[in-house]
Amino acid sequence: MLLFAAALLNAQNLTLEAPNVVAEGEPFRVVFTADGSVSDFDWTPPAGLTLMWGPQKGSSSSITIINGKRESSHTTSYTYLLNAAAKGTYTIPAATCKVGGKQCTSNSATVEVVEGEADPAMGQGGGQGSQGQGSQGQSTQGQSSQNQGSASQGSQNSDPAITGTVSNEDIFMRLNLSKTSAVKGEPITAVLKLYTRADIAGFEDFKLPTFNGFWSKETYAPTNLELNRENINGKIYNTTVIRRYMLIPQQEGTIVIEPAEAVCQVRVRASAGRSRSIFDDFFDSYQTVKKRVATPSINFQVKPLPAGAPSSFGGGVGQFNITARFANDSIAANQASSLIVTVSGKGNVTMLSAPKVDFPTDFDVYDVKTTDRSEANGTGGSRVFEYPFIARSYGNFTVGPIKYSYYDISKGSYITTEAPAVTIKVSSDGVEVVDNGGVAGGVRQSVRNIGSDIRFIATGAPALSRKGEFFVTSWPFYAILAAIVALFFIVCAILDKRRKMMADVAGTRNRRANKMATERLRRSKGYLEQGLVGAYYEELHKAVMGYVSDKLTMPVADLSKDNICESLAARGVQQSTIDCLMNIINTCE
Amino acid sequence: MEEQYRDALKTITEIESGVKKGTKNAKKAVAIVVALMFAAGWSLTASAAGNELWQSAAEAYSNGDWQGALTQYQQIEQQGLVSDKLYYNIANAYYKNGELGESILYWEKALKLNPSNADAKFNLEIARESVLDRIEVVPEFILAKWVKDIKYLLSSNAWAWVALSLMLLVAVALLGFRYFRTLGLRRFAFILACVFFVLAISSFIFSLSERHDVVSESEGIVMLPVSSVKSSPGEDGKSLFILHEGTKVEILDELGSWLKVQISDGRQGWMPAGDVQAI
Repeated sequence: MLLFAAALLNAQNLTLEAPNVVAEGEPFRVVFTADGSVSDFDWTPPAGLTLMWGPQKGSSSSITIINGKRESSHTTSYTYLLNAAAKGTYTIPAATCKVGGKQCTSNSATVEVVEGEADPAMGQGGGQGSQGQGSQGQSTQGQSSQNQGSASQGSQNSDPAITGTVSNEDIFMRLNLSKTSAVKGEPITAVLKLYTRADIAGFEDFKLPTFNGFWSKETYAPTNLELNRENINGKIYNTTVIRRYMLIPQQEGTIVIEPAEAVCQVRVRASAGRSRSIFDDFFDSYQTVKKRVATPSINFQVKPLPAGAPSSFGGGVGQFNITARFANDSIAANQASSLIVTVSGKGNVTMLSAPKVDFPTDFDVYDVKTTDRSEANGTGGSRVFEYPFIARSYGNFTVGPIKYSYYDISKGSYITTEAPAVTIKVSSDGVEVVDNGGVAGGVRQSVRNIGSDIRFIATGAPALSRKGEFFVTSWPFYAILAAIVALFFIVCAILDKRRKMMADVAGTRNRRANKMATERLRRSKGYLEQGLVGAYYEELHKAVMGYVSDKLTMPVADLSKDNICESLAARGVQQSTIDCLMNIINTCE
Repeated sequence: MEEQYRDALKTITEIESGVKKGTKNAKKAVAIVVALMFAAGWSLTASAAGNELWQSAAEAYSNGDWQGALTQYQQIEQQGLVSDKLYYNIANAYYKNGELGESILYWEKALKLNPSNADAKFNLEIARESVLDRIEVVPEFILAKWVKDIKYLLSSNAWAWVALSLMLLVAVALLGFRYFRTLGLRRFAFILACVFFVLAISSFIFSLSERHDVVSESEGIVMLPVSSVKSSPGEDGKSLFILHEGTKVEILDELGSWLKVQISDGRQGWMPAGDVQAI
């Protein structure tokens, strides 16, 4: 299915293939390829490039039968042979054609034409298969002490095929870094490239760099080496990408990248010093020379991240976005679901730690599952954090907003992004739990502590007192103590007196005289109101006589008007009162 | 006829008023004593200003302005006014401000004033979690521990009031002893009086001893993040061990600007007076 789609996609395309760099006067091929049968092909070579030959139309078709499925493809190609007369950069325009009735336009390409060196090594650009060489590429020699990375100018040209040696300039390897200094955690790309002007037969003892101090990942590791042509200091080299890496510095300071090494088997023509037979002229005699190549070791500067990272900083360096969603919008209680948080963007995606998410406390959250989806070049992509959980109670729960911070290299500061809050509806699971002797209800659970803090301040009245003042040593304490003692004695005194009074009967009668008299008077008044005059006077008399008898502690029988008068006068009762009393007694009698 | 009745009433009243008098003095005396007691009670509760500061500080604390709350509480303290609640709030503000040593000091102060302050106990426990030093406490004699537990049930002032109340009960029981008629009741009242008296004396002692705890400043809190305890007073003394902020020490002696301290596992040494703040 996929293959079919890819084929369909290809059928639309008309592709142009041309070498990147050619030498002055060197013929080179421009090939247009289309899948399917082509009609109305239209292309004219650009000014400055002369058409040497072509177009040659070629077609090929293939039929594959895999598991009984038959697939056929048909390819048409147009090949031109061009030649550039002068140095410069030329644009090869796009061609148009009709493929299967559909209008197609090819891509365009640029060709750089450099100073002529006659035939460059291998002589074929544009990724064509190698043919038997009659002409071995020229190269420089005498570069013994030069750094492999810098091919020096102005060296004399000679033919390695003749000398039978391979100089450092003919073949070298470089590790190209996108940056020579970076912030810790900032992703960089490294490309291990082999530059050659000689004919390489193979490699031995390939030693790839170890990248100590970096987190590294191979993002491109071709099984078939693809050749490209490149202009290095005015010379045309065949280059091939051996490995492409993404590197993330893990430690601060200077990191030394160890060199990569390889031993190349280079085919050179047999040394000129040897006697050449006539056959040698016919059958080019080649010998394989082993050539060790190594990249220079590189000092890489890693700067630390600035201080003041927010608490939500997850180690990200680059530019990121964060999104969050629940795997399900609604679940039943006690059912598992997950929160999916995606952090995507450019940067060290693989180094990101999971953002901190505050789940509702009734959620049981399990270990975060992390999935990476990195882009082909390795510097971007997304990291998916999956938080599995089980909701233990029902209701609407909101998680977030989830904050996530990263270090933005271009801005040079920490940026905090936020995933908006997401809501999940947890419905009751409908399972009635019967406990507590058959009373239906939810599952009872103990109150869990989810945090601890000191208690709040006292808010009531402060009950302030002077410092160093204590009740026990203050005068009120002793005053109250004295008062209690005093109270005790006073109560004692009162009680003693009372007891004494209780003891003597006369005193009691004396004290009760008033009460008795008042009682009798009230009764007499009652008689008067009823009109019982006799009874009234009788009672009145009794009251007065009784009172006097009680007061004077004399029996009623002993009382006479005379001794009443005397006794009362002796007790200091006024004469008028005595007279009045006498009057009443007289009246009553 | 009505006249005689009225005359009789009048005459009896007059004779009565002439004959009576006296016995009222006793009642007056009781009234005075009771009034005196109330006056003494009131004189204690009447406190000075500081209520406004108290309110605004509480507001600042609620709004999360720990520093502001702290300053206002300290202003109350500078007026010479104290209470366990004030110390407790100061400690809370210190803790929220991140000053562990100070907060422990003030919670301890609050507990000194009122050992029954449950909030202060709770917060102190939380704060102690953050103290670096963990010291094995030497177990105390069980009876001494009981006495201490009882003593720290109430504050000094509360014990004083308990003592007064018990004295009142002693007085009542003695009255009963003196005036009950049956021998059994009198014996019971006497025993009761004795028990109350012993309790009253113990309360009084508790009250005095708690006051002494506060006044004597016999305990302190290490205030520096790290402080070494030396074998002798002076910089040239050998360092014996190191204490960290918030650890409680017992202050045994003072020599110049050096304090002889003991930690709760019994080890002793000398510390600069500035490193330790007395509770």
